[in-house]
Amino acid sequence: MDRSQENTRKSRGSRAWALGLCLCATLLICSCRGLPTSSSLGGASSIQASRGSVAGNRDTLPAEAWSGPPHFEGDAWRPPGIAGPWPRDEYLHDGGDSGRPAAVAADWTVTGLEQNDTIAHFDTIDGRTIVEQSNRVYLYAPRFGSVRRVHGVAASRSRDVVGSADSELRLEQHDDLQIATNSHTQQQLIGDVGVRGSSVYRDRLQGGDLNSLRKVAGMRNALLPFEDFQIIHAGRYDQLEKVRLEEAIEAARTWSHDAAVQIFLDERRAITDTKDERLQSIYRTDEPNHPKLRLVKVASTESVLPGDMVDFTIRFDNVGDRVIGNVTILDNLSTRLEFVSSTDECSLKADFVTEPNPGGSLVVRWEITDPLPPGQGGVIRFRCRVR
Amino acid sequence: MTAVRLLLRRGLHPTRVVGKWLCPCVVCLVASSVLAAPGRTVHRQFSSAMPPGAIGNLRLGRGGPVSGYFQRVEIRAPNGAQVETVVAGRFDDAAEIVRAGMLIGPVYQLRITHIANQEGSELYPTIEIIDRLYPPESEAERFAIPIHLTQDELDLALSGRFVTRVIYLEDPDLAVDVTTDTSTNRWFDAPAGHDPLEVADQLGRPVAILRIGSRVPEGPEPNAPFVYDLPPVVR
Repeated sequence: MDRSQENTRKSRGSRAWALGLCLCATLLICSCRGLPTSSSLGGASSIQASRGSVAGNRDTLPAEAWSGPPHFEGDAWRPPGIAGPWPRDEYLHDGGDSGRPAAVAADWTVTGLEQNDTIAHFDTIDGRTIVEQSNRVYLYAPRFGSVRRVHGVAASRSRDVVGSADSELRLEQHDDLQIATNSHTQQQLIGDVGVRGSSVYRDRLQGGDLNSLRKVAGMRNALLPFEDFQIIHAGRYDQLEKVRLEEAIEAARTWSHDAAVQIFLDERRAITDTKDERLQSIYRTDEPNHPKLRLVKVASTESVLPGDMVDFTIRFDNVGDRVIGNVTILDNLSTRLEFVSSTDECSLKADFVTEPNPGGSLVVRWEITDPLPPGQGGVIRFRCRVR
Repeated sequence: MTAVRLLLRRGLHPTRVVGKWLCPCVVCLVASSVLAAPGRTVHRQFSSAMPPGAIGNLRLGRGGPVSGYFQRVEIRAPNGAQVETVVAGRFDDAAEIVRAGMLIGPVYQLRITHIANQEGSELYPTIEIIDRLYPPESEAERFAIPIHLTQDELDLALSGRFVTRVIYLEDPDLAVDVTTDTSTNRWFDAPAGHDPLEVADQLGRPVAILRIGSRVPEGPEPNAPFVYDLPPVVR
């Protein structure tokens, strides 16, 4: 009898334990479904959550938690924690190597060259083929489309029937709209005053840049204002220009590479490795072999409308310590960039080839004819029309 | 539960039962994470047939720096037609191209006059801004949302049709290789059985809704309900 009571007690305990386990698992699954939404939306969702939970306690919230009237001072608004350019759908980008890394096959076929990619590949003396990518250039270029629906005769007839009731139904909507729209007019007007002031200031800046034009040997025209970088002038990378060139997150991966420092060893140098453990000394010579090509891309403007022209300039330099050959520079243009024919220029002797890409644009390609010694480089220019 | 009970009856240790439960739990966690993964912001619960102002107000409720922002809009009429906005309670300031800043949420009533081949006819379209742009500083005026009326739409509306057009910001990754300029707004008809808002959301980010062919004012001057209580406009 005691044993059966004990078994019953054990059985009840096990059931309770199993029930608790199931409950915990269910809660865990339910809570897990809720988490990704908040974390994935990042700052925006956290703003929402903050607003909902502590409504009425606005003064205690951090500044970024309140999404009321926007602040128009300084830079354009973007969600906390998200680097620019933002939002992505308002920008065109060109350059870099997105998606699958570009590679050159044995038959010289380039794979992994997606649209918007700008890369260069070259051969080294020891038979390797190396691919380098440029920095990424962003253009603010929103484009709009529209979708239409035309309601036919039946819809029109029903509209006539409910015509007298429409006013009453929409009155309820107006009450909500009045509350939401009345209090922010003055702040917007202040923002507009600031906008006009800064546009004047930009004009003056352009005038200053024009005074310092310099020529690059081999190009037909002087350097353009948007190319006013030391790295474009002479191939020297100035740390002060990093901020301007590195507006994109992926910018300038090539020039920050550790290997770039070693390219300034311009002579073969014998490194002496002396070992006195034995009677003789051993001399070892390490021949420098760090081929490297730097690719920097800039655009003539930061914002464009459909139909506008934009000039791109690519500066390439052999920053390695060996001669490189078969230098080929490729730019797979975005669908919205239409290459303007006969606008290609290269300061070095090169063969220029274009071929269509799947996006309805072109892949433009420069094949530098002569080998490129260390410290030497060139400039490529071309023009595109924004679709 | 049944599985747990069977395991218990076989005399398995509770830790082994935990192990048996842990696997399905992990599978469920992974599956739920995948299902709850963030996707594109869609408007499946919305429809372009909703009352004017409804979608814009719902957008305001989602938060972000949209409340109080005057989004620049460029309204362009075709073939010499004139666009009039409400100024001081009456339609005024007729122009072929109107640039204005409009709030997100309210409904703005316009009047179209001097329509080609339809002299004397008037149309009263509405515009509802449902999202905004984030242009670089001092570029807001240049990058306005284009709302370009077409002669075809005006003719349809005058023949008793109701035209709904959803203007969207194109996703650059889904861009089509057509040459455009700033004087025309590219459009196409929504496929049969599809809502324009849903189609626009698949191709980009809907930012405005244009409706043509709706009601007309009852008197010579528009009253407040007809002009949606005169939402503010910035010129």
